[in-house]
Amino acid sequence: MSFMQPSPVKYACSCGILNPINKLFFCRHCPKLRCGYCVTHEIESHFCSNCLENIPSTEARHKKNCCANCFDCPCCQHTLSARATTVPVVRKSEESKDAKKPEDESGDSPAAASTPPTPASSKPSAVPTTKKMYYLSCLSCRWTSRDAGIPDQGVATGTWPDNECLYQARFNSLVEYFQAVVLQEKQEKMEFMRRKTPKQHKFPSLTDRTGLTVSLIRRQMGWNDKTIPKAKAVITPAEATAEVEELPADIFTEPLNLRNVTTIAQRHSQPADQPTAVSSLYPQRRTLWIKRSLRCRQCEHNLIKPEYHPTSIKYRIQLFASCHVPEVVMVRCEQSLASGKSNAILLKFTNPTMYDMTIRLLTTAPTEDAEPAAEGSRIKEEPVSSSPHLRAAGITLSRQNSTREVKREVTDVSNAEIVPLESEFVLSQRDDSKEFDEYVQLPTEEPKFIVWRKGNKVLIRLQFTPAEELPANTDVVLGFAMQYTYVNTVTNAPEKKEPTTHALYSRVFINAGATEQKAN
Amino acid sequence: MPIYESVMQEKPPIVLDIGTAYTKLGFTAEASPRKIMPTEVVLTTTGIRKRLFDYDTTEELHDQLVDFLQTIFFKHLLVSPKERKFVVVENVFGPTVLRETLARVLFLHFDVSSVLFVPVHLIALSTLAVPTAVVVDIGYSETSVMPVYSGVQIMSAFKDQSYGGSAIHAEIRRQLLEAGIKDDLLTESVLEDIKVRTCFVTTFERSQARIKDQAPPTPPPGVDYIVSDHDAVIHVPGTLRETVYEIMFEPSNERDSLPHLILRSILDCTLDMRRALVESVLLVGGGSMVQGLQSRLRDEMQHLLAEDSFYANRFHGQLQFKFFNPIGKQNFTAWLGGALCGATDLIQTRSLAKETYLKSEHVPDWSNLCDNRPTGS
Amino acid sequence: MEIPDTFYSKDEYVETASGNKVSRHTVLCGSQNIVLNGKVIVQSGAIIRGDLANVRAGRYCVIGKDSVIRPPYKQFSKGIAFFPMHIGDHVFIGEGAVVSAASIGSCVYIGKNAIIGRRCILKDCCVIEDGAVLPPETTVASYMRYTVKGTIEGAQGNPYFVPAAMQDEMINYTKSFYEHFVRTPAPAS
Repeated sequence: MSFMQPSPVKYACSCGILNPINKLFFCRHCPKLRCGYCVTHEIESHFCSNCLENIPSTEARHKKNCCANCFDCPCCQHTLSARATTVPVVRKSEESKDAKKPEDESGDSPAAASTPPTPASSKPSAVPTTKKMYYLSCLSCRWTSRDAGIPDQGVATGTWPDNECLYQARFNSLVEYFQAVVLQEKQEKMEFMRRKTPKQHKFPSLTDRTGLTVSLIRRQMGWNDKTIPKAKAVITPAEATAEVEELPADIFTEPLNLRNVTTIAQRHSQPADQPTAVSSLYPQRRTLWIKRSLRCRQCEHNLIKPEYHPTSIKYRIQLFASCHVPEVVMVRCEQSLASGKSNAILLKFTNPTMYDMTIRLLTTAPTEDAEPAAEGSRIKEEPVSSSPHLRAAGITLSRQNSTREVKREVTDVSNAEIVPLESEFVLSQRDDSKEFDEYVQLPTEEPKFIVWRKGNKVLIRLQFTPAEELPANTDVVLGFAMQYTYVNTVTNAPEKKEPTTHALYSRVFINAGATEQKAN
Repeated sequence: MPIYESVMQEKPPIVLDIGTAYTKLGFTAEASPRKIMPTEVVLTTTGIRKRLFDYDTTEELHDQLVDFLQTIFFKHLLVSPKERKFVVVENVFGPTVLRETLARVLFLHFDVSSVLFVPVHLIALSTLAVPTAVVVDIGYSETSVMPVYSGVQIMSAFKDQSYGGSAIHAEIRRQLLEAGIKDDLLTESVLEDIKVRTCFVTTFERSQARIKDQAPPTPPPGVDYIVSDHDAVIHVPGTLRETVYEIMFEPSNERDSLPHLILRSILDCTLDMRRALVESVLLVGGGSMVQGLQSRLRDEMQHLLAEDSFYANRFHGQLQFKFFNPIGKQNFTAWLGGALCGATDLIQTRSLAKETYLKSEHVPDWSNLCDNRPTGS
Repeated sequence: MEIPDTFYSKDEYVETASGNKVSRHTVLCGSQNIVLNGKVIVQSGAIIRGDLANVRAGRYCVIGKDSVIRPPYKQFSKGIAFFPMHIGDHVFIGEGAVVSAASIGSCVYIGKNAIIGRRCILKDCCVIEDGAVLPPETTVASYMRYTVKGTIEGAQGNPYFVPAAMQDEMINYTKSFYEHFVRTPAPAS
């Protein structure tokens, strides 16, 4: 029953997509619900999810969105950890001992060892010193950088070599070539246009018609010609060859060891060379992650803006729907669901705001054509999204924003008849201090449908009848429009300082569960 | 110096090559894509993972594209698409609804500043700096052949057939089912893995022997393939490893196997182009990375030229098929071409700009008469 | 969906002065090394290995049925050493999970039967899916979701994988879990 499971209660976002309340945001300036689909995503900051270091965006771009210190395993894409081993380093004078070094290294235990192993030499004169060497190891699939033939490094980070692109030089020359070709084409075109259009001189010169005179005079004066023939872009084109790579003859006789052949995911994780042999897999730099901020498309205000630092979990701006819109929680149905049988559902409403809310349930969800009327009741009009007509008319909006979304019909349809509540009801404001008080319920006159009330929470009983023709084992969906008063503390107009009250509504759909198998 | 460069080039354009099976993505003027990822989308509304191009309505495709591109921008490329230029590698004969929807998503949902559509065959060829070749693109859903002469695509000689990666998968599946392997083990990813890790294109001689002689050559050794998810072992017989790619070379009355396709495409070009095209064949696409394909194709086509009367009467002189070795790997050759193209000034002059798009909300297309009236410009 | 009441019998659970509710059917080794900071629920079948190293859990944690909390160890050439384990506030550890993390931040959700390898670091507000297996020394950053497939998804501001209001959600969830974890009402006589 945790919030990790799909919630039975869904709200219709202003774009028409149904979402549970924890995926919705509330734009205070519009004021409307927004979901991940109908907001603009923006990049707030780059960070590495392994070393939790913040990386400035210029550096991230320079490093190709990779962390400088962390590596991923080329086999299983898990993070690699640096492992230390100690190797004896023999003083330079005794070169003969050098041969022993690799032996010791490979014989060392994979676990980190901080004590020197037994001295390689028993001679007291050769005092062996030890040195820490590092290699990368995957704790998930046991791949190590030694498998790729990378020598151990003296420091844990920073010195690991990158595998370079084999055809980089060729690629660079291709880029240069094409840039030159395109540029040349452009110049030729411009030249052509220049010649085509006669020059509008104030005093047209008959002698200058052909353009010959100018170059003639220039040459007479000993200047070089104005139009220097541009150096043609040159590149050696690729050569086709009839000698293609033949199938190795031993493929028909040698058994294939799948352990040595990489999978497609492993190949694609190294796009530049895509090795087929496991031994040529190379540690991959870990790609960075981003923190996003979300922005309302209509009014371009931020909906959420996380704090910069990777380890911070706070937001600088947070407009979660669950902090502004009354939350509806389904408690239970009174009876098991059957088509055509009257039933009741218990719903808990919670007011997350600091102001009292009046809630009215409109049982017949307003149809799309009824929407403009409801829209009119809102205080603030949505800024006109730039339609092509407006743009064609040359009207420039204060905010140039071409993004717009088609409003779609709300897809889920209710299949149960709801008995309307006799009246509206009030949800009291949230008061965190009351949590610690012993709350005494004042005997107040309550409408009949209110089962229970405590602080900012109200439990109501809503009667409904699933549709007659509903087959067994189908989900019963209750749909209603919840109208609520919302006190907005921010206003766009600076002269109005006092909070304004809006009557907002959102459409709520509740999946009450599946109908029962009929007994008969 | 590189920092200076990155400051200078404020926003490198993004290059996308959205294939049926895999999508290649990265930035212009980079020598390899940042990522090659399956063209699959995890729907944000339901959490279901599905192929991008499985859709019923345009609306559905639109939403899937939004989710898909969202992942590309914010998980892989880590750049905001807003006000950015794009190069999109597209199939010349791809469905119009796809490019229209893609343009719609890019311009209206993501607010990009321009999109440059480039045709896959032509742009793949640009990585070689040669103007003429027969470009054979072996993709997932289909194999297509497009001759390019002096930098012009010969549209009338375009040929395509439905054998590509998916047909190979179907063939592996058929053969394994025949061998008694349970159906639920043979998921798409297992089939793909078996294909890339064990299968190859056999030699011309062996395939001839298999067709003609009663005694087939001894098959290569079989392999035990472990499906770790199900703790099961699939025995991949040697004959399977050798024969699955034969569906591309099957002799039939329709004469539509890959060698025939290439030869017929060359024949559809005018006489004086043919020799140049024969001597320059470029294989691109993920499907062309299989071992032994080039040599088999060469032998097969050479054989047809000599032995098949249809071709012998039409091709004249001593012809030798020659192949190009592309830079990089074949599965991103087209992307690489896009990256090259995007690095030039063409991205400024040839792109479809946002302002132009918003006027008509329509992507100009070579096949659309409205965009190709002699008077229109 | 509202969290339904979970009933426990008076005989099974011990309630401490600070509001911890600990089942008697648990194995708490080295209980002097286990610190529960209040309103922590330790459900039946859970094992906490305080004998290996200190285990400290913050307020409003839920340690699910049959889960194992085992301080991480590191192997040295001389032997192995155990390290203390810190669990933040409002952490939910699902049924059957095996946790050997070095530290767990606040507002972390660990799904059923998840396995957290030794010396993993789970930062605040992350989610481990049901049945996910974290290899040793994995770091899961804030607002990240570690999936069953072994991939990491999400990050702060991404509304699809971890709720943007994860902190509030976890606080509400663990608090209401505690409130709905009630003693079986005495049979009406």
